[in-house]
Amino acid sequence: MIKIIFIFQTLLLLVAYNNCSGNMQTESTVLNSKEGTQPTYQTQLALKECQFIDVVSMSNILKNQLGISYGDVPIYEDENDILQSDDCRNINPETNDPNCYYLTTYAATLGVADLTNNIKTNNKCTSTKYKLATEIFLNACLESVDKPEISQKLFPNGLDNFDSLYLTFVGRKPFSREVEVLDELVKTVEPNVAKASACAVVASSFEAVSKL
Amino acid sequence: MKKKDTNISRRSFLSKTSYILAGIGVGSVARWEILTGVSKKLFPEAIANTGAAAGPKRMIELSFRSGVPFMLLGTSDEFASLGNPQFTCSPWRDNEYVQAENGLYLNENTRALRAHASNIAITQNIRPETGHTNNFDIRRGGRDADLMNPIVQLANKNTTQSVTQGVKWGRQNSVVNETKGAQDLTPVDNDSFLDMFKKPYFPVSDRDLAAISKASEKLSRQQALLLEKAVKNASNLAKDQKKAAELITTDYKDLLDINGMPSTLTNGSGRYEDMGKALAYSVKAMEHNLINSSHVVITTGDWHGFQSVGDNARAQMQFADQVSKQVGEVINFLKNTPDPASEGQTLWDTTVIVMNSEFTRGLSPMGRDNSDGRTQGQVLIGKDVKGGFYGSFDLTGGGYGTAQGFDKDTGAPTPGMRNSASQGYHTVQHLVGNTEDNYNSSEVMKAMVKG
Repeated sequence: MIKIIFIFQTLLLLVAYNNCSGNMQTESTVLNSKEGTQPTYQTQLALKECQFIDVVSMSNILKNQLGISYGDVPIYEDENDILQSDDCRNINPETNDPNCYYLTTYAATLGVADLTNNIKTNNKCTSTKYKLATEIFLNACLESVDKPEISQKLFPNGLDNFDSLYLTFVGRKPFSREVEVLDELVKTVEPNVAKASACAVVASSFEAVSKL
Repeated sequence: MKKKDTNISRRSFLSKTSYILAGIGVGSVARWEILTGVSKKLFPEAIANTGAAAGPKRMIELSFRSGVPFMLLGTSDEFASLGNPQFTCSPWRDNEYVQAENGLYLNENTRALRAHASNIAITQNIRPETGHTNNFDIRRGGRDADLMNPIVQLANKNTTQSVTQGVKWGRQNSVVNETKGAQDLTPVDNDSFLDMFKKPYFPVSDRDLAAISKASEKLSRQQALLLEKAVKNASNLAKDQKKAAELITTDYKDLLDINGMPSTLTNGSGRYEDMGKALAYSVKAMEHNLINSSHVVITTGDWHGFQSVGDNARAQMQFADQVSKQVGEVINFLKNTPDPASEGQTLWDTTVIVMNSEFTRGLSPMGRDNSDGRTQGQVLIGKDVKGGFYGSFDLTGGGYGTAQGFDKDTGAPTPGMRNSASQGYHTVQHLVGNTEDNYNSSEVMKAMVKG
């Protein structure tokens, strides 16, 4: 009996709590992405769990947006010295390529399922995955951004405008504060790596590598 | 007659009120948020009662294949009456057999654990549920419960905000983790572990790389601010991105030099050489908050041949000697090292060490095969662990001895029963603070827990 009374009282408390607590409704969606304005939100019920983009999607970005036909980038040990390992050779038995590539070498870390070992796909967002994404896109951008067709696609107006870069990797135009970050970056680094730096930072950014 | 408990627990409140809210159409996520928020206000004391001390937690788990008897590390006083060895896989009085703490007896092979005995709980008195398996029942709440492993759950929460959540050493398929869809621990060996924290090579200057890292961190923080009302833990994810940016500009590999560590860890012998190095790297990485937790898998070989304590018992002695020395050194390190994630606390305050196996071989007389799966054991080590041996043995009759369980609340030996894998599982969950989701406080072996 005591329990029933207690639960009933608690239910009343819960109703009051809900009525008084406007911020209990938590999930919102960015509606307005016009440059330079603050985004507005449409309130829904639940927050989304961050999901990291899968390896296939990352490979497609390398191929389709950065023109890297292999869809993967090598791991460099030193200048012009690609990491080689028997483990990597085993990963690529068809090509017998001894070079280590990021997406194949770090497939497990990036959450690729391993059905023989009963390991499911894992899309959780982690610092290790963010680190790998940064490495992959920095190498990829350094390799490809100076190609005329890629440069024209990502920076049609040079380094004064990041709209195309952002639309390519994030799917929207940048807000003014984001533009400030990129402006500062391209002014700080050596001119010959300015485009690649901006490309890598945007392509590996939190929003770009998350499935939202 | 037992008095009926009229107190309503936080857990009971959560489950019952959840049904009511579900009945009036409140969705599961909203239900959970409402209930946890309100219950924490209504039952503040219950939070303390549903887990060990609050704050960041870490775990070092040692999983031994294949069916390792934990009696070799410490056992109960029934053996004190044995003047000479009568059972394999057990210590005996003449082997400098002394009581260390609360009924826990150690011998000369396990001398290294004596200084820490008040925080070491050992039992070999749990009912085994299966034979050889690479997914231990006790690690998943019992064969049928099939819950997420505590170390996976803890690493995924990453309450220490470590750079990497958790790593797993050793033969990867020897012990598999039940992740229930969460991220598994990162499989590593000595080389790949160091590579995780090595500064990668890029054909740009350090100055440019620093600028890229800084911009990466700032841009992602801006994006996290935009998304904080749409994505769970967006600000924490931005911190993860910040750590990633730091990792590409800093070579943390140098911090993981284990040459100065005790030789017991860096030069272990036989099957325990890799275990020692894995433990050394793990605690060094914890010292610099590079990892939250570490799972070390050790394959100890076939135990069927060990039917005496003579020459062919070297494996038993080596297990007791090496594991005790290495774990003893790990405890020393933890006690003397501040936890970078928790001001004013040492790693000893925040870390729980757990040892398990798919089962533990029971007693068997000399000259007989120590058959598979007779008992299940567990070793728990930590600041909140109440040291002792839990359970007892009936050594009478000259045949195979009988393991007897204990009252989970008082620790009193209880003939005719054994404790359950579920109790072992939830006791670990309690100690590491995994008190959400499938945690069941009524299954905790409170006798093993301080406070």
